Amino acid sequence: MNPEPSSTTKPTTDLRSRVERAAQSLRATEADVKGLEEAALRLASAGNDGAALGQQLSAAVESIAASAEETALASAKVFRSQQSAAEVTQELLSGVEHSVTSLRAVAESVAGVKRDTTELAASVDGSAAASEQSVRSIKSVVANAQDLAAASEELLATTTETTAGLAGISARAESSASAVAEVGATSEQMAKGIERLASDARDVSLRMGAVATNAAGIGKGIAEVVERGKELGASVAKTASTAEQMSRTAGTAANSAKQLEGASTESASTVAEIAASVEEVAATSEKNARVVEQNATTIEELARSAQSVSRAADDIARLADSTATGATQVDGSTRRIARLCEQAREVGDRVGMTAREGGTTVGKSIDGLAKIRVSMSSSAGVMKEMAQRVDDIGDFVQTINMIADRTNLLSLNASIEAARAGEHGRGFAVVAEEIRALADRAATASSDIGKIIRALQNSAREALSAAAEGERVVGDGASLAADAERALAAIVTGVQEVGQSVREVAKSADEQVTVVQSLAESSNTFRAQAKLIVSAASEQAKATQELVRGASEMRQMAKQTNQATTEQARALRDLVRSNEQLTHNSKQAATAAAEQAAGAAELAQTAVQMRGLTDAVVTSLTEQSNLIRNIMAQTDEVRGATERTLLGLTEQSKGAIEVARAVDSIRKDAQQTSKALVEQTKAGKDLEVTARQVATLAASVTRATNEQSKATADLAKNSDEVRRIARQTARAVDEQSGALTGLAEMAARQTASITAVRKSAGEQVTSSAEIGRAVDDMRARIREIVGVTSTQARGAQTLSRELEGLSARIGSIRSTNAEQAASMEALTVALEAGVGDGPAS
Amino acid sequence: MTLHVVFAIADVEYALPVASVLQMESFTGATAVPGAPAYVLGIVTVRGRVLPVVDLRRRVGLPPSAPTPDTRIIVTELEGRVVALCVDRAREVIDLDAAARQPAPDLVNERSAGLVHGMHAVGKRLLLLLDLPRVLSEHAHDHEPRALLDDETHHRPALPG
Amino acid sequence: MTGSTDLKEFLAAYLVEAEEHVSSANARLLALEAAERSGTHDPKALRDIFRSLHTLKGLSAMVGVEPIVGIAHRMEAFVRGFDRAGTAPSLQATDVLLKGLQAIAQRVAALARGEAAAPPPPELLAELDALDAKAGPLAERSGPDLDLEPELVAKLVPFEVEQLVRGIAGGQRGVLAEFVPSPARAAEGLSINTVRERLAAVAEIVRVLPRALPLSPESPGGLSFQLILLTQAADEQIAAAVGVPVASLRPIRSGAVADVPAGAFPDASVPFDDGDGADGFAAGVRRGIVRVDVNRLDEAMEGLATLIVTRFRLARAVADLAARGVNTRELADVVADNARQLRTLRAAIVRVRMVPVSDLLDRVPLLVRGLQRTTHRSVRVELEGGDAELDKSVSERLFPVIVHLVRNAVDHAIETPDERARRGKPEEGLLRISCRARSNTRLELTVSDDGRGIDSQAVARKAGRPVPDTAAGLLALLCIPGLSTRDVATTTSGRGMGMEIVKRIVVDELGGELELETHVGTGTRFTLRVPLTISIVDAFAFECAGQRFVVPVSTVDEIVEVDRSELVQVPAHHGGGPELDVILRRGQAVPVVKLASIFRLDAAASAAGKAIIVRRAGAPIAFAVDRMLGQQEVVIRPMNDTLVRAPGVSGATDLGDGRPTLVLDLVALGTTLNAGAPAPRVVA
Repeated sequence: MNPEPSSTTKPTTDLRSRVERAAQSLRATEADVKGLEEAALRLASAGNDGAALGQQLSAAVESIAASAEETALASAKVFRSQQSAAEVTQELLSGVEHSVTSLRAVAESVAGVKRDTTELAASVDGSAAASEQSVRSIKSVVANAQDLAAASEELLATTTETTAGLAGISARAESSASAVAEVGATSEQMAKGIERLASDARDVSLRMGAVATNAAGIGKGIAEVVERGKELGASVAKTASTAEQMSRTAGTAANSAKQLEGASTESASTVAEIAASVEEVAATSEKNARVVEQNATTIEELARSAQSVSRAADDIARLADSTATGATQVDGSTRRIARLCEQAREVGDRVGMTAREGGTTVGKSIDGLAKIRVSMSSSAGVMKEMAQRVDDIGDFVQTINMIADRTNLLSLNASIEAARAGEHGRGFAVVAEEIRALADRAATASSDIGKIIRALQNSAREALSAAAEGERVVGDGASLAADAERALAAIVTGVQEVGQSVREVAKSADEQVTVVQSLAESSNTFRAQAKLIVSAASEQAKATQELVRGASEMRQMAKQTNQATTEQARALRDLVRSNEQLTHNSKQAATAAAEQAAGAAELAQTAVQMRGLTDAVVTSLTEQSNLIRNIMAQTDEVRGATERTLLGLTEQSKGAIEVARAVDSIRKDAQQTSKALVEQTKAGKDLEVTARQVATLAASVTRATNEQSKATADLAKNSDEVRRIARQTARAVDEQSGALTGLAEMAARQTASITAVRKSAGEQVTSSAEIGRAVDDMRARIREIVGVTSTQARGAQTLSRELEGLSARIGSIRSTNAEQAASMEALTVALEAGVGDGPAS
Repeated sequence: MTLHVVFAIADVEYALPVASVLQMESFTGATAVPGAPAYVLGIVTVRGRVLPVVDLRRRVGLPPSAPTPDTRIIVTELEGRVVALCVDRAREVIDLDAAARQPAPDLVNERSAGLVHGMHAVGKRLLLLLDLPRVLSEHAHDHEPRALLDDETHHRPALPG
Repeated sequence: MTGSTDLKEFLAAYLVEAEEHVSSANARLLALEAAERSGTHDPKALRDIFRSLHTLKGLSAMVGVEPIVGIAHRMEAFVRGFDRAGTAPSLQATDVLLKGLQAIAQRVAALARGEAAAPPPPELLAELDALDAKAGPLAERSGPDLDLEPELVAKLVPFEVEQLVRGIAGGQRGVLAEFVPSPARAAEGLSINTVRERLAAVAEIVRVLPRALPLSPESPGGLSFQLILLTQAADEQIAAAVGVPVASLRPIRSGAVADVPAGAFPDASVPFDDGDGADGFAAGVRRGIVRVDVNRLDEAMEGLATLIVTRFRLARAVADLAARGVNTRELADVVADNARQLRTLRAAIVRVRMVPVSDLLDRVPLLVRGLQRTTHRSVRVELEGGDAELDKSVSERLFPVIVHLVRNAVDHAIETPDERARRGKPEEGLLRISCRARSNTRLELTVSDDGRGIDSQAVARKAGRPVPDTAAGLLALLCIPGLSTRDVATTTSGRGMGMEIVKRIVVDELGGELELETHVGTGTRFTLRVPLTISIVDAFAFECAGQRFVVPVSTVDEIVEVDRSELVQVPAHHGGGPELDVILRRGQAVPVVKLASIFRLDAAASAAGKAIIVRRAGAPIAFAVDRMLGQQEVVIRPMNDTLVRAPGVSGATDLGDGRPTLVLDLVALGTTLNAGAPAPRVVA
């Protein structure tokens, strides 16, 4: 039985190199062979053990097989349910994502709003200081506004709650719907599962047929097996590699096994829990059944509540409408506010402009005043100078007078002297007379001038005092103007600031408008959503109707499923038991696995080593060692199979856990849905109440807004209110955003968990798919193995016999080893080339 | 036609022949001489000479008044005796025709105790001619050493020539 | 017009010279008379008299004052007659000559006053002619012929012609030089006077004749002087003296007969010794003596006075600056130097003004001679002038006092010869006037006679006052105006205003002191103490009741600080009169009178103040004043107009503020206080 290696023509050029290597490997393998021999002996003993174990194992395997079948079924089911769960989670995820995205959007918007509001708040705060004085005047409105704010806050809170609630409801509704859908789906799935069971059964029967044919073909099959073995070998190689992986993952598996162990311990606990939970599940399923029953009833209630919900939804819709309208109103009002703010800004601008103009005019007037003062003071200066000049002239006149007087005196003396000089003095007398006449004329002239000067002096003095007075007055005027200017400047700056703040408010108002718009939009979307909700609710109602119908169907099915679940429960119990056993076994297995893992690790190591060795040996022993390989393969297979089955089992157990968790989450969901429903109703009531309040407040808000519209005329008050509102909204938005962020976070967390769930579900799906595949594979293999093992059992005995023979033959192998060392190399190379392509799976 | 100095006391105009006038000066104040008669304002230095100043206002019986910018002193000379007369205003000299001179009516002569010994009408103005010797003489002959102790206010009748 | 100014300048010089000659002639005449009386004959005096008269005539002729020329001419002729006759003029002749001199003096004075000289009094001329007749006919001789232009000769006085001829005959050379005055020459210092002086050294100026010249550049004045000289010196010296080129000199030779028209003045025969005459007095007078018109001195003093006032204002300005913190140390030094120089200048001027007392006293003999004749008494005058000098103005003021005292003495005190004989006194009364410089600022003059003394009872009875027990009291009585002891107003004693005028001048005007000492039967002695110069004195300025006064330092004994508390008020018994207090000064009670109350100034009763203590006749009197302002030189201007004459006020001065400030004579003020009792009604 030494089939030629696949005669793939190798290029002659590297033949020599291959030969050298073969010789070297052969020589190396001698030692290996010895080792192998020992290993073989060990193996033989192990084999024996193994055989014993094998038998034991085969028995277990059979039971495993059976349970595998079941698990296969269960895992298939689980797989499917996981798939469906995956889908559901997918939907949930998408729904949640949607809601998350929407939440994020809302969050963003809210954040945006928050930012804006904070900005607004900040800016408004900033501007608030500036417009503080002006705001204080509208206390009453503010109070009202505060109520409004509070109410709107409440409204918002309630809306948020409702939204949250709604979201929650929607989510939950969704989830419940989805859950219900899920349940429906699962029931469908169950139905399908059952169908599939049927089809599996058919498949199994087919497989049985195939097995039979296989059995028939077993003989052929063995060759096939060999083929398969090769494939298997290939796959084993692959799986070896995967084993390596596995060994690596074994490591991880080991530690996951540890974890598993931990988890298993935990899961033990959880298993216990699961068991409990299974019990519980059973119970719950029972309860579930009851619950389903209840569900049914609740569904009916739900239907009713759905109606009520739809009504509530209607209400909500209406409320949403109203809020929408309110929002629109708010939007309108905010837009109006915005407009008002706009107007206010314009007004502010205008005022600012006017103030600036006023400022400039005042400035001009101040400049004018300053110029006037300057001119006044200069005129005063001129006046003083003139007065001074006049005084000087006065002095001159004085001196002229004195001179005139003195000349008069001189002329008199001259005439006297002339008279005394008698005849001689005649001429002199005439001259004297002339001088006197001149003196007199000068005197009269100077006296006239004097009079004029005195008059001038008086007028100068009056002018001077008037100028001084004027200057003083202008001075006062200037100082007043300066004060006015300073005041105007203050006003201008104030107005500018107000304008600035108004602009900011306007901007923030705009933003707010946008925000509100977005709010409106969101509220619209909200309304849309509400409508959707409504439609959904109505659909839901319809669906619930259907559901009811379905529920009734379901009830039957529930019963069925109950039975099934009870069966399942039983099965689960069995499973649990088996699980317990499993856990026990798994514990053992875990321990064994651990050991095995350790051993596997070792084995892996050793396998690695061995693979390394066997690679080296396989390469040399492929022909001879087929059998061993088969055995080894088989043992590997078996071990792999066992590991895989073990893995499958763990996976399964995990899957079971997941299923349990899913079921638990379903339960929780169910609870939450019920709570949510309760909340919803309460929220609905609250909503109504708040709606009314909102209505009233809306009315008052409208009134307030009217007043506001009135009040907006006085920008300052508005800005204050806006500021406070802004601060309130900021705070509300803060809370809102906080809530939203919280919600978002929760959603995110939910999404994360869901994604995780989805991922895990996906993984589960994939892994369960893999498992499924592996299980299919396994099953096939198991079937084959069963077949083989049965044959093997038979064969084992033969094997043990053969083994002894084998050991004898190994001895002969060793001897023939030397011969074939030379031709090994070529073969290894060929093998190397041939191993690369695994069986196409 | 002899030239006369015309001066005024209060608003009465007098004239003095220029021959008896040495010169005229402005007057701001005199240094009182204790013990001098009432109507003697005191002494004043004119061109280096110390002259007595007679207040014509009081001499003609008018109340005294503080010197004004128009106040002037007329330095007269009579037989070597130089005395200054303080008048209210003196701004012109005028030629008087001796023929046109009228003797002072008896009543005037009596009343003024001989101070006014003639009048002159010049156009609308009436100029009184002052008898300088009489003005100065009041004191010249009656040189009686008034005892310092006498109470100045006690008014002694003018002694006859 | 320029001519006249030259004339005026010339007139001033003429007046000075004229007066000089008149006084010297007077002196000579008196000396001549005294000599005659003592039996000796002093031809020289006669000749001096002649020369004075001669130059007097010449000068007057030059100036064109005909009356003086007339008188002088006749006197000259008369004196020459005597000279020729070799006999002294008789008493009558001297009288007539004296009267003539007096007449000339009066006209010179008139000229000085700018008035025209009165024509010679006819009776005087008659007397003079009578003398002439007695003296004998004057030799009428026509002058020898001189080769001079006829009109020049005509101008010469026969005497001069004779002098010229005799000079030439005597071997001197006659020279005619012509000097044309002009501003340029004057600038060079060449005026007629300097020419005259220089020529005096080298030649004998016979006559200087002014000649009118047509106006031309050389003789802008239109005047030249023809100098007729007799000299031994060479022509060059003469030319140099006159400052003309030698060629312009023309010798004058006699012998060339030039018919002198009859009727020219008979030339004088007496040689006119001009210049280097041997006799001491005239020479003495000539050498180094400059005759200065007193007015000029007054002007100088006036200038000095204003300088002093300006210095005072300067000092005050410096004080102001110092007050304002400016560093005026250097300026102060300058001012101090200025002050010292001013003082020396003042002393110099004062000294220039000083005239020997002898001037004053020389005229007394003349006066006494006159008096003797009128009062039929014989008095011998003893003058003891000493070398004291006093201010010209003071001497002028003192002269009437002395005259008065002398007249009183001769008229009242000295008895008639027979009365003296009865009293056993020598027939001839003795009048002694002696002068001694008391201190460098005051002059003491005593006039004593050995007459009958003054009977205080008679005087008291006459004045209706109690009999004074002290000489001072008697003196005060005497000084009451209008009091005269004589029953009959004789021409000499006037109308009894005697002693009062003495007191007024000595005490009031000159700020001097008057004392009397008389013993009935043996004689009386008046002692006068007057400041040597009165124009500029050191004085204290002080303030009282807001007005400023000045008192000469010389009169003040001491200045003390007076505190009201120390004043002890004296009970006043009969009401009137200023409040009188007494303070204790070095143990001696001193009466204190508030100046303010004396002058009836409204004195604010100032707590503390100063008191000026003066000594009146030995007894101190204190005058309380407010504040002392310091000491400075002041120029005292007399206030002699009756209107402002007040006892105790000796004049006015200018402290530099343009207003006159009264100069007080506290001593006189004190005396009037003493005289206290209200003056009795005095019937003229």
